[in-house]
Amino acid sequence: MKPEEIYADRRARTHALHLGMWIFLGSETLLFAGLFGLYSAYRAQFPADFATAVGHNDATIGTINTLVLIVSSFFVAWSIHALRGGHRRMCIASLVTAMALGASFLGLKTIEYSHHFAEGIAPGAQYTSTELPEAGARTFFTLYYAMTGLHALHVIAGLAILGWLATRVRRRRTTTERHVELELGGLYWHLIDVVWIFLWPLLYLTG
Amino acid sequence: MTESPLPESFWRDGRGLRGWLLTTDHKRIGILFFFGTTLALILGGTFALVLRLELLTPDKTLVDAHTYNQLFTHHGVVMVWMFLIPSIPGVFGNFFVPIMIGAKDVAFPRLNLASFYVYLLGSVVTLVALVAGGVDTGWTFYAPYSASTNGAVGWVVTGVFILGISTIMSGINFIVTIHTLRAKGVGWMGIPIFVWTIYATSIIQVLATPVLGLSLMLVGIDHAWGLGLFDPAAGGDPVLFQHLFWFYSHPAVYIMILPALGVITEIVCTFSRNPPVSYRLLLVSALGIAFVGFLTWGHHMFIAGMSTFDSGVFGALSMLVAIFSAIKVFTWVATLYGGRISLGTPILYFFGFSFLFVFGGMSGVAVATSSLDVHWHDTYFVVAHFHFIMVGGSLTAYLAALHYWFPKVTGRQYSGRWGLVSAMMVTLGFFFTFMPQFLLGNAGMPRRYYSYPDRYQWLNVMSTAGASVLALGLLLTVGALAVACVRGKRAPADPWGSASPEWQVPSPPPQHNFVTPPDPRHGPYDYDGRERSE
Amino acid sequence: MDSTDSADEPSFPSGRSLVIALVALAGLTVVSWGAAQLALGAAGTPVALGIAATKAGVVAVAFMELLRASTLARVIALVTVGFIALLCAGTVGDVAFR
Repeated sequence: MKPEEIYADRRARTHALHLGMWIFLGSETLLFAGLFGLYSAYRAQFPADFATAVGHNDATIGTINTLVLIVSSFFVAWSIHALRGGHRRMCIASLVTAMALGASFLGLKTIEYSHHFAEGIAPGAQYTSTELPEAGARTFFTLYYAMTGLHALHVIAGLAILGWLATRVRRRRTTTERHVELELGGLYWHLIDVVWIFLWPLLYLTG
Repeated sequence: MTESPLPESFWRDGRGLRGWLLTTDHKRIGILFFFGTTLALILGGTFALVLRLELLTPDKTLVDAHTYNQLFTHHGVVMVWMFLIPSIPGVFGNFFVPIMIGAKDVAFPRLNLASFYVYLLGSVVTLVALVAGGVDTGWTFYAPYSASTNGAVGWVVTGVFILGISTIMSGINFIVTIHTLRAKGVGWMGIPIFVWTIYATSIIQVLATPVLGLSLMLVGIDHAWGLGLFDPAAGGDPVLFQHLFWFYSHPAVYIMILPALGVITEIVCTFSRNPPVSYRLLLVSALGIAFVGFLTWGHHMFIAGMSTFDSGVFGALSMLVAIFSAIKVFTWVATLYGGRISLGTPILYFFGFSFLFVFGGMSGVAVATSSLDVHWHDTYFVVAHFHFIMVGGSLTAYLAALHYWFPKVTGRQYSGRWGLVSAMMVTLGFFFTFMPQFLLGNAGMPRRYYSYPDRYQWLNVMSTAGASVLALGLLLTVGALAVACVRGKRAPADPWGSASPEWQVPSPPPQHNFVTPPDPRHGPYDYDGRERSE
Repeated sequence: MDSTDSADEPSFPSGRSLVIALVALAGLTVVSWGAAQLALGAAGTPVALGIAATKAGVVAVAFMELLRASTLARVIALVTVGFIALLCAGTVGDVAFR
């Protein structure tokens, strides 16, 4: 059945889409819940080891990445603001900027991971470093890889979504009058930012 | 029967197979789920039968120990994720929620169709696991064994992960539908209780399933590459896996029972021609079960090594659920009392349900008492408890729903006599399958054990005999309904005399659900023009 | 216009409010980094998480327009956080009291 037959008007359908998206975001957030739960429990078990391991992470890269995502979130919000104001090209430029920032985030994480691998800090069974207190540090870094890895997967998906949206705006399929998908895609990107806002202190600052 | 020409029933749309495979009609999607979940029930039931046959003798009867472990794992996985969770919401929720709220379809019809295909994909991947080596971890995938065992762990966790995605899609669709597509004049208190239970179930689905998704991912990665997060040798804690797993799986059991409680409410009201004694109490208890269900997961872990602090908290909170369940039972009984009861196969299923659900629920309170559960944990006592709820409760309600809504969906009526016989066979067969298991568990027989001491044999034999009767009863049910599909008398729009909205449309409904727009002035329980209770 | 185009809802965020939010977020990030340099001991983690929650709130209100969204969206946001806290409480309540 077509949307026109089900909904009273387009505004009702837009409202329903937004509602659905927020519920989906709730689901996505809870996907990380188990990892936060494991982090809390293991941190309670190995407080000193965790603190040492956190201190071993590169807080500079971590902080830069935090700012990178915050700015990218700004540009996504700006792209919606631009399109609502009728500025199509600014919208596309903002989206592309956000994508570039997102890609830099992934680039920096790749650099970070390679530094870790070079030291023998790898997830789970591949962990060979002896520098840090064994059990607690290994568990910390396995969680670190799980949390940032799951987050990175979402960033990759987010980049694909932003790219798709930029293309739609370019082709005038997403317009000043009808751009609910831009709003929904933007929400997804902002969630990725929010998750990282919590990962950053837990993995880089609380050492 | 009306004389004016009716629109075509939803069964006919002139598009043949494409009209089914590419349908966005919620009613057809419900039918698709019916076939999927029925196949799952047959498969899961077959595994159970082989298990029960194996347990006829203390040592090997049919299969070896490893195969036995795989059988109970596959039985659990298939029954939980391919049948129990999707059955009532996927079949009856899909078919009836839009009609019950006066909508022409769900909020996102294409998402609805996608949820079916994702269910299909997840089921296929899970089934691949069964043939590509099988899994022997139990449906609970406890670490560290799930990481170290040989077998198709990767396939099965991927399959269940995909099935979980289908659940979340369905959940989102129902929540948005109920929020946004109620017809003009249909308020939140003007919808049938069944809709409230689907709503509560959907909330659990969207919140809990992602945690399962993560747990499965961790198991899969651990099995393939070694994570060590739950491996004591690597400083990991296996109990933490159980926390993650049960944080989902306890609410999951409420996903499996809440829709059933909604079905029962509708049947009780229709067959007593009474509104519920308190609509508000039923609503509150549905939401209450959903909420409290999230607070109790540790009661699966009383002897796992969890702290006594947690055991105390979880034990106390677990008792709360019984309050909400009891509220429902008392409300149903009070609704029947003082009503004008008519008899029919659905209400017969309720009579079986009421005993089995109450008994199962009370045994749940028993095992929630941690000092008692120390004795019963991982014995057949627990197995009996959850089968009383899952089979005696959920499956019975599913069968009741089949018999209740059959005339609406097919436009035909089935033989009440065969309905009675099959209902009795199912109920009695069930009872003799699982009642002995309470005794077995209390006497000390552990669950998931392939062999047992001789003195447990007679109870095992009784259980297997019961299972055979149950299986025959189910076959009879299917057979009688299948015959009715072809040879049953034409059913009127409202054969049971119900006031609920779905009975005010033709049997079967037309594609767009309504011939005349639904009339919100009469509530779903407006019998004899009586005012709604709220 | 999508999402809403009537006068009975709060209007879209202005460009200025977005920039203010960005500055606030960057500022809070610096504050968080600064707080981590101080030896706060056991208070370090709650402080860091508190600042993170504030930043998340800014993103939710300024970028995600949570206040313009339906009540259910706001309930979901709160419930989600609550459930994460619940799971953490359950696991820590186990590990810490064994």
